[in-house]
Amino acid sequence: MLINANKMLIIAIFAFVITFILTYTLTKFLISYLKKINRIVKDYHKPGEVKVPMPGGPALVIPIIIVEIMVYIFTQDIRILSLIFTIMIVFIIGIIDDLYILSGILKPTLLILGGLPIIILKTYNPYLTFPLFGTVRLTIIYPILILIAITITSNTINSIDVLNGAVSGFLIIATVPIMFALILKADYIAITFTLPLLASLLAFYKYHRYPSRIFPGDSGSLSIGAIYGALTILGSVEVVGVIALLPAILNSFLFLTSVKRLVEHREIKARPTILLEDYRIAASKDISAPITLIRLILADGPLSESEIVKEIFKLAIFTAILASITAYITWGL
Amino acid sequence: MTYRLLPLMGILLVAWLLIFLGSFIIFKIVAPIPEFLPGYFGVLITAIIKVIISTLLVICWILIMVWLRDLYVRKKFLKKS
Repeated sequence: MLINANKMLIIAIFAFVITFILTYTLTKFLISYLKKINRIVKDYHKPGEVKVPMPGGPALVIPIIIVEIMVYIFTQDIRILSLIFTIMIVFIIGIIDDLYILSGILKPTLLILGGLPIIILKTYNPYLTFPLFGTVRLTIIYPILILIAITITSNTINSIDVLNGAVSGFLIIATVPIMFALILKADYIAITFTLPLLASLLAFYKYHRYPSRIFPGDSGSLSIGAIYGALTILGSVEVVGVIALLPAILNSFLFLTSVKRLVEHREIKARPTILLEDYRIAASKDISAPITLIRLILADGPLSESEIVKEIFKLAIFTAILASITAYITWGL
Repeated sequence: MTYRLLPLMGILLVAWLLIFLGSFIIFKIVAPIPEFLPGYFGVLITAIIKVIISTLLVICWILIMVWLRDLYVRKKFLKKS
């Protein structure tokens, strides 16, 4: 189905606005509902017994699914269909993880399923585009990379969901260079199906930022990670996506190379950070504690929770600039 | 800009540059290497060599990142203790 530029712009605005309103409303509702059914968890970085509703994932993800279905009806672009199935699969895994806590090995194994819709519907382009030296064909290995990519982006995004507003704010920043790359590529349908993620994150951030009134839970963080990974594949902007995600990838890399095994973070005995009496957070001096991005940020001294999140955002902005430079060299010159 | 972030930004910058360098070597130098020998075994041996070189490059990337991590940890944590 061919759609002219004006209609596409209207669909894009519609996708953004509707998702924003839906997430904003649903998050507000979910906060009171989760409190009512006593699905609340302790916020360890706050004085006193501060309890926060969790999981906020449904409020973050369901509006995206609804709007993506609408965008698919208008555009008939099959890439959106594979995106919807990917979101659904990872969201179900996330909900199961929120309710029963999956092991450190089972979770990434199940997340492999998230990449299957993209492979089955053949909505990928097995050509990776690099700046300066152009395109490379990866016909055989690319489908395997898709399965790995969805698992990595979900888990990587999930791994930075440790402080108020960190994961939602980080992903808002990381989505900007993806949008920029898609604009340079003039892939307006991909821009349209990327906007619901950005809109949902912006609406959710209002409640997730410090001091959090809701936590996304694994259903939220795994799903938005998978959506991000799927969008970079479906929009063929994988390299830009990887670079924008570098602080989170570095966090996972630091954790895995120090722990040396796939493990659920709740199973780790020695914590990478410690909470001080004044509720600032300090890096642990325990040599057996895992190395994480936050521990390295705190190496120069303790910071408050909101200050650490700001530092993470600065790193995210830095890599978003690097990713945008990459996009410009690749498609803008 | 907070001074504490500069070394971390340095690590991220190196990671960014290494992605391009590694990809360039793998896709533009290693991948186009022609078959050493004619026939099926020639194709097989060349493919195995290409995979080995590419794997070694990925290992190099990981080792450089681990070295940078250790350098940072030694400088920041061990100096203080």
